Amino acid sequence: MDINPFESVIVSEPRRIDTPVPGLNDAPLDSLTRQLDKLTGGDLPRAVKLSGAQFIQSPAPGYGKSHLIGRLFKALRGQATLIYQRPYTNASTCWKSILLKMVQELEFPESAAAEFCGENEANQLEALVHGILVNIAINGIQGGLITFKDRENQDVLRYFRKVSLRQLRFNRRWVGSVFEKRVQLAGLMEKQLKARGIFLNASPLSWLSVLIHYAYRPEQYELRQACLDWLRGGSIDDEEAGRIGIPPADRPVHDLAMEQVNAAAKDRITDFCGLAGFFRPFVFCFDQTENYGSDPFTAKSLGVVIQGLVDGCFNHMTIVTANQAPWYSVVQPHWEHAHRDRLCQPALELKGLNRDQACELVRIRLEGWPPGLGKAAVMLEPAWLDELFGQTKELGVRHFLLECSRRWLGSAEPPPQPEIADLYQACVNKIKTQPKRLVFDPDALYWLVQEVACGPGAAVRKFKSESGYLIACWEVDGRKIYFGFEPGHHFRRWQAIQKEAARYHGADPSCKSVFFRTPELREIPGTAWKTAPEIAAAKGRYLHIIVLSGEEMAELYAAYDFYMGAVEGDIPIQADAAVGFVRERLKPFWERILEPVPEKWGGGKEEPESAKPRAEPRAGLIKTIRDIVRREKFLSVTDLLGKISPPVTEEELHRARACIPEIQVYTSPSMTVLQWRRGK
Amino acid sequence: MAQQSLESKKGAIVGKLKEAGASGLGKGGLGIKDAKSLGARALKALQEERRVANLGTPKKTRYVLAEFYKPLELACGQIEANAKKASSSRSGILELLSRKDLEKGCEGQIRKKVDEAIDWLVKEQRLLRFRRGRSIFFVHAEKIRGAAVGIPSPEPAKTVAAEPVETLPALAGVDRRGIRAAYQRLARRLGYSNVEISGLRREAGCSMDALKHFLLDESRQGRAVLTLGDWSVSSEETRAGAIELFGKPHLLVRLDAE
Repeated sequence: MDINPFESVIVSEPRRIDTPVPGLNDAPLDSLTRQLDKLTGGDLPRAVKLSGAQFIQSPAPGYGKSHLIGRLFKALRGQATLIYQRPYTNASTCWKSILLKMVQELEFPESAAAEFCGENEANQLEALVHGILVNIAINGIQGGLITFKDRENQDVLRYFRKVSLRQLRFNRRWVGSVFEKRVQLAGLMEKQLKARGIFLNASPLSWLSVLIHYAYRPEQYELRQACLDWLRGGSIDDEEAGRIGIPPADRPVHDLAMEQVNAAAKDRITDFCGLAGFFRPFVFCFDQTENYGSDPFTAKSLGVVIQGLVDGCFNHMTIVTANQAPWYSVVQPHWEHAHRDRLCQPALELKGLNRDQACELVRIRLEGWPPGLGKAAVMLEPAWLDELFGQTKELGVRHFLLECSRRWLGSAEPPPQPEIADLYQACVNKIKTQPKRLVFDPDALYWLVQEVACGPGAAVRKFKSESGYLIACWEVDGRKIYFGFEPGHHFRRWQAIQKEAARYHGADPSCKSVFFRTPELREIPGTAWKTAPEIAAAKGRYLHIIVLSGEEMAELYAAYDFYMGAVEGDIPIQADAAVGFVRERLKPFWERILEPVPEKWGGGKEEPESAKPRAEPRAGLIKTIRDIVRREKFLSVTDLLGKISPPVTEEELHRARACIPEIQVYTSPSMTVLQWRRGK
Repeated sequence: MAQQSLESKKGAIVGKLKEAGASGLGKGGLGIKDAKSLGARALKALQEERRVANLGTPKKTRYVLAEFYKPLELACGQIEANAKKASSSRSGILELLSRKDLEKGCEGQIRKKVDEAIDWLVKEQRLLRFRRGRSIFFVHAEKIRGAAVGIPSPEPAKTVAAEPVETLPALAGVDRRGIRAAYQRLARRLGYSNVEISGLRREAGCSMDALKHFLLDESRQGRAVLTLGDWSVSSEETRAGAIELFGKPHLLVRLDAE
């Protein structure tokens, strides 16, 4: 297998980084962990605000911003709830996007060591809920507000301090009694929060009901999904809301305008941060910020977001990373002074590798590599390192890795510029290895529809329908195609969407409205909806719901990553060239959208896959993969698939593989290779 | 439609330049005759995207793909070739070469790098500099080694860089303390330590060439760190401060405390 250990130079998933080089950029990391310490002292619930967002500045691309976030995530395991924020693309719905990504990140494993929860492994949201509930109880017992007739308070306290989420989840009597007493518990929670000056936007009863259902009743799939909808700020069915225990006042109405949805999302984030006072703080990382410089409005919105978080939310540390030149030329100039003041100064600056660190990086990259190639000595040859570091005492990490790559390949010349199609394919392969990314991503989809579009002949305009469900419009050969991005599953909202689409269709029978859905979202229409026949009929005429498969999501989201990489300077092509390539490459996707004949849309019924809950990877499969990769040390995904019986899909394989932190993944345009690395 | 043909024209130009490699092509070679033609627009767009650059002059153009745009390296190569070629008509006598002799064949952007290239080759001990009165002469090290026994082989660059900065002729007139003070002021004002070289020149009020020599030396001696920065979003003024290192323009510098 011809693998270059120095080929991978970009971190796209901070939970899966290489072993860090000792000493490199330790100062900014220490500074960040010290800031977090300020949020973790004192009695619960805490209500602490930092003076500003932490600003990490890199002099150029390739100095390890995302890697530093990965190191921070590792350092803060068990101390903070970690939220990695990729750039949003629609400034008008910025809070909605941030909340959606926040909830998606909350479903990452609590351990932060892997990307996917294994069987019975808690995710961050479950850990947060458990922490909140246990600490409310502990506070109540300590304050004398909760008493026990038949047991000593100290025994119960000891029990609550030790008990795990899993233990409580399987204690059905306990879960039942907590749910019954949730009104009293909510009162207790409210009292404790108010004492610290924290006032929730939604009622404490709604919060507790949703959180208890989500964390302690995972078997009720539909209700758990409804809880997620509510946490994402969406509207949910009254019947489901009633079963969960959400009072009517806290049920977002189905026909909220875009601004109201955005404001509701901000309230939800503020509440999450308030509740974090019972457990541990949030860490929000805004990475790849060059992309906010796409237009002044988006750049400014990031300033508003940072100010909103710093001023309005307790118990969080917000981190903003930036490459120096684009930040000061296309992002910060659009910020007001009040926004700029919310970034802590001076910035935490990243540095390059010195000679010793470079040697260490080579050793790290070669660790576990098949011996006997004799290349290790070549890579550490003093004369070569002298030549590199004779001209400068520091080199950017990516620059050094590219030099290593060139030397590994035995070429005096720089490696030939990769073909654009290969660069794109590498992004597709990388996304496929990140199962958590294969979920509904309205930002990537909005970017594709609004910025890339189907071709030069299409007139794309910023658009907002009367009710606000449709937010983009193409005009192709006199025909209008409207787009909406709705992750929710409220029958009334979908009824309203259908009615709005019908209105536009009535006025212009050649038009249609397109919505995207992904497998983890529930089916539209819901089987029990009274309006199901009406919506199903609309799907056969003017409401085109495109259900994206994992394969399609990988293609589309890779396009967005590809573009962001170009903007950030991670991929050696111009952003315009990236857009041009994607436009051409996604021709089948555009054709699918443009298809005028409803019969060819794929039928009125969704693929059955979408209705199924996506189960956690099987423990047996995880064990099989672990055993094979540990034994083989190196093997391609294709080879691994061939060794697993009964056969599994590549998606299933990656979902299971993502539970194993020891497996390092290398992607290239032609293949994906897995490596076993001890102590990762 | 127009967009499409511009893109295809750009593709055709890139294809031709790829084929031409480091030799590049002039406007004629690219089939561009009219300054307002589609080809000219495509070429301009490629230059703006920094995928193509002109190694020649505006009149005598030599377009190459960005990966071949290495004027400093090319200048070094040409100067070395000139220095090695020179031979005296009488055996046992070394031919002394003037700057003019060395720069033969260097044109356009490559010519602009001649001084920098000579300094580089001198520091690398591939070229030796001699003075007679006000005149400076050069001889290639290989010529001297060929003529005399016992001349040491070239040392690694690091050893050369250990030479005190003040003794290097190129740094005559550079106010070292002044530049460091200017850097401190600038970094404090901006709030970060990797400052633009062009900004430092403005703050220090010195000549750009002298500053570049100074910074290159400081870099080799481990007192300064040159960084690429981001060419694509930089202004012409910022780009004017670029120092070529590893064949790439470095726009930023960080001066560490001594």
